[in-house]
Amino acid sequence: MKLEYLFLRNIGPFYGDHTIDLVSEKKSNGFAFFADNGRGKTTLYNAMKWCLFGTVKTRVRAVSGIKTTPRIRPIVGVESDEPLINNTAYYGDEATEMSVVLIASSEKGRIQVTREVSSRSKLPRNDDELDINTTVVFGDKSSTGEKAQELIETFFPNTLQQFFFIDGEALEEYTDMLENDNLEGLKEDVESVLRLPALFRGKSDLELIRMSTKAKLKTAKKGEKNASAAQSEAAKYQRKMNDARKKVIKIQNRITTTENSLKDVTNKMNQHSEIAAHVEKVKEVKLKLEAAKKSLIRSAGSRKMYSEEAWKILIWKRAEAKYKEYNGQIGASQNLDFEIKTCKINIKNYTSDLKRLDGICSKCGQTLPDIDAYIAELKNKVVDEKKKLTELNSGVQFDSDELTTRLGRLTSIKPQRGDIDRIKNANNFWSDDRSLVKNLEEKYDSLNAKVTKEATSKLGDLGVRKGNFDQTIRRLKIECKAAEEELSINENKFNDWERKAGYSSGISDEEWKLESIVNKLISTIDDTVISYRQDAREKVEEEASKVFMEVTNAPQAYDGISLDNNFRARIKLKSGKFVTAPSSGMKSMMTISIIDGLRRVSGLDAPIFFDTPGRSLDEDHKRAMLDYFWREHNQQFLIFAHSGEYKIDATLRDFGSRIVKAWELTWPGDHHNCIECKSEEVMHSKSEQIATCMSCNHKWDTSSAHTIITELEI
Amino acid sequence: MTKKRKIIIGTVSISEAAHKLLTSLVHSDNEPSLDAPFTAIVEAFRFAFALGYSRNLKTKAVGVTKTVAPRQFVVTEYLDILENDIDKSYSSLGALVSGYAEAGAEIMLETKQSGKSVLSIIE
Repeated sequence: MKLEYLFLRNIGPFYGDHTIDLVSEKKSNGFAFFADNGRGKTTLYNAMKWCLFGTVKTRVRAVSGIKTTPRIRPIVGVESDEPLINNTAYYGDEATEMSVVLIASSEKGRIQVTREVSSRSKLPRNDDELDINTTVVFGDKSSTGEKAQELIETFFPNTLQQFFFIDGEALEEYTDMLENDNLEGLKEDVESVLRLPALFRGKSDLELIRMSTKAKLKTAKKGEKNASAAQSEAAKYQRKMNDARKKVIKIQNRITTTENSLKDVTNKMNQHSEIAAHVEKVKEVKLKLEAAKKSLIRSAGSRKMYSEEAWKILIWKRAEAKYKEYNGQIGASQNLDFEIKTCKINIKNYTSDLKRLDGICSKCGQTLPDIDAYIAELKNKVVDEKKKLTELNSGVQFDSDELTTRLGRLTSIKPQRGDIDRIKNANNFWSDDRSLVKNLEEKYDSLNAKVTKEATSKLGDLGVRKGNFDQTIRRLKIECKAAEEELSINENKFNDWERKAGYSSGISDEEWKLESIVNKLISTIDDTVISYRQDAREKVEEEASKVFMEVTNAPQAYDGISLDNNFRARIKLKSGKFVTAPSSGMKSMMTISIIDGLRRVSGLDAPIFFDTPGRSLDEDHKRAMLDYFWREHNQQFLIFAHSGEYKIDATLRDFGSRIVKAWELTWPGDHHNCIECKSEEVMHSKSEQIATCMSCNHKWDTSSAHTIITELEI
Repeated sequence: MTKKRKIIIGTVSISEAAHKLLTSLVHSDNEPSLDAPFTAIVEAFRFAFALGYSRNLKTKAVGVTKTVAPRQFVVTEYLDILENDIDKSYSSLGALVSGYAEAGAEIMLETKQSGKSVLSIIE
C-alpha cells in the first residue's frame, strides 16, 4: 500500500485547500515533514487518522500529577475542546467545511478515501449540527457510510492503527505499559495482531446463545412440572372442541337440506303465475342484500384499518399544547446551554489563572505591580460567574438535547394530516352500508312473509310448507351461531392449554444438547487464544529483537528483547542477564522495536506514520532509527519531525538518498525570503505586519497563522 | 440540567365491565355489522385511554380488575404527556393510564348505548 496524494481543506492551521503529492519514481521509502511548533505536523498526522477512522483523540497529559484520559476531539466547539476545524474557516467562511482526501494504491487497486464535513447552520456549536460524509472509491466501485468504513478497514485496520500511526509522545506511555507487570495492554495488542478480537466476538455470541438457551431450558423445566396437568386440560377441551365442531357441521347440513327443500317449494310456486311475480321480487331483494353484505364486509375492514390511528386524534387534542410548549422552548434552551457552557469555561479559566498567579512575571522574573488588585478582580469575576451560573441553572427545565428527544417522542403520537377525515369517511361508509343491509333484510323478511301468506291462501299446503321452511332456516341459523361461538370458546381454551403443555414438549433433544456443545466451543476458543497468544509472544520477541539489534548503539552488549510469559518487556544482555536500569533512550528504542515487531508479525501492509519520532532519543539513536526505517522496508515511512529533533539540512544531507520527498511547514511570518520568487530583497513592516518583496512585489501578511507547505529540494 | 424524579411504572388494568366492553369492540370478520372497529383489545384500550386523557377524566376501577397486554401497551411511551399528572391518587404511570382508560371506557359505553358508533367520538 503506497500513499500517493493527500488533500486537506480547513483542518488545523491549514486554511483553504492544500495538496501533498507523494508520487515519485524513486525506489526509496522515506518521507519527512519538518516544522516548528504549531505549524501543523501533528495536524497532518491526525488528518490522515481522521480521514481513515473518523476520530482523533487528545494526547494523554499529566494535570496536577494525574494523567488525563484521552477524549475524542470534536470538529467544532470551544477552544478548550481542541476542535479540528481551522479557526478562520469556522468563524469567517460563509459555509463551514472541512475535508481530507487520501489516495493510495496497492496490488489490489487504487483507493480514494474522502471524509468531509459541512454544516447545516452558520457557526455550528457542536458536531451534531454537522453532516459528516465518508466516501470510498475502490476501482470502479464507490461506497459510502458504513460500507465505506468497512472497506477502509480492510486496508487500514482500526484495531492495528497503533502499529502504523506511531506517536512519539505516546511512546512513554507505551514504555510504562511494557515495563509493568499488569500488561493487559500489550496482551490486547498481541491479540489484535492475531486478529483475535474476531474470535472474542464469536465467543461473546456463543455466550449469548448459552445464556438464552439456559433461560429457555430453565423455563422448560419449570413448565414441565405443570405440563401433565395442562395436557389433560388440553385433551378435555379438544374433546369439547370436536363435539362443538360436529354440532356446527350437523346444523350447517340441516340448513343446506332445508334451503334445498325451500328451493323446490319456491320453484313449484313459480309455476303459479299469481305467485311468481312476488317470488321474483324476493329473489331480486335477496341479490341486493347479498351485494350489500359484501360491501359491508369491505367497509368494516377498511374502518378497522383506519381506526388504528383514531387514538392519536384524541390524544393530540391535549398533547399538542405540550408539543408547542417544548417546540417554543428549544431555541431558548439552546442559547441557555451555550451560556451555561461559556459560564463554566470562564469559571475554570479564572480559577486556573488564580492558582497559577504567584506575583512573579514568567518572562522577566520581576515582581508584578498591582498583583493584589488583579487577584481581587479575578476573584470577583469568579463570584460573578458562579452567581450567573446559579441563575442560569435555575431557569433550566430541560436542556436542548432532552427537549429534542421529547419532541421526537411526541411526534410518534401525532396524527397525520388527513387522518381524521379518513377515519370519519370510513366510519360513515360502514354506517351507510350497515343501514342498507338492515333495510334490505327487513324488506326481504317482509316480502318473504308476504309471499308465504299469499301462497298459503292461494296454494294451501305449498304455502304452509314454505312458511315452515323459512322458520326452520331462521331457527337453525340462530342455533348455528351459538354452536360456532361454543366452538370458538373451546378452540381458544384448547390452544391456551396446549401452549402451556408445550413448554416441555417444545424443547427438542437438539436444544437440550445445544448447551453442552456451546460450553465446549467456548472452552475451545479460550484454549486457542492461550495457545495463539503464546506463539505470537515468541514471534514478536524474535522480530522485536531483530529490530532492536539494528537500532541499538551497542549491539556488542545486547542480545535482544525478552518478553516473559506475563508480556513484560526487558532488554537482554549477551551475558543472559537483563538490563536493570535502562536509560529513557534505551527504553524508547525497546518500545519502537516491539511496535515494529508487532507490525511485522501482523503482516500489515500500510505506510507508517511517525509523529515526533526523535523525542527522548539521543543523536546516535535518532540516526539509527532513521537508518533502520528508511532502509529495507518496502513500506513508506513518514516522519513528522520537530526542527529540534531533526535538523533539516543535516537530515537531508545524511539521508538524501533514502528520502523520496520532504516538506517544510511554515507560517508566512517565518519567511525571510520571498514566498513566491525566493528573493532575499524583502522589506518587513513590523507596524503593519506586512512583508513586501522588492523583486516581484509580492506581499504577505506576517501575522497570519495559516500554514504553508513547501516541498524541499533534496 | 433535567429535573430527575423517580417514576413508578406500575401495571395497567381496568374493571371487568370495561374489559367486557373493550372485548366486544374487537373486530370480527364474521360480524361486519357490529360496531367493533378495533383490531385487538389493546387497541380498544389505547383508544379508551386517549379519550379519557383528551377530556382529562379519570375514574378508579372498582371491584375485580383485569390487566391489559403490558408488552403491547408500554406506559413509558406516554411519559412525556403524563409526568405532570402523577399525583397521590395515581402514584404510578400504569395507575394513571388505567384511570384515564376507565373513564374513557365509560364514555364509550354511553356512546354505544345511545346508538352512535364508537368512532364518532373523535369528531
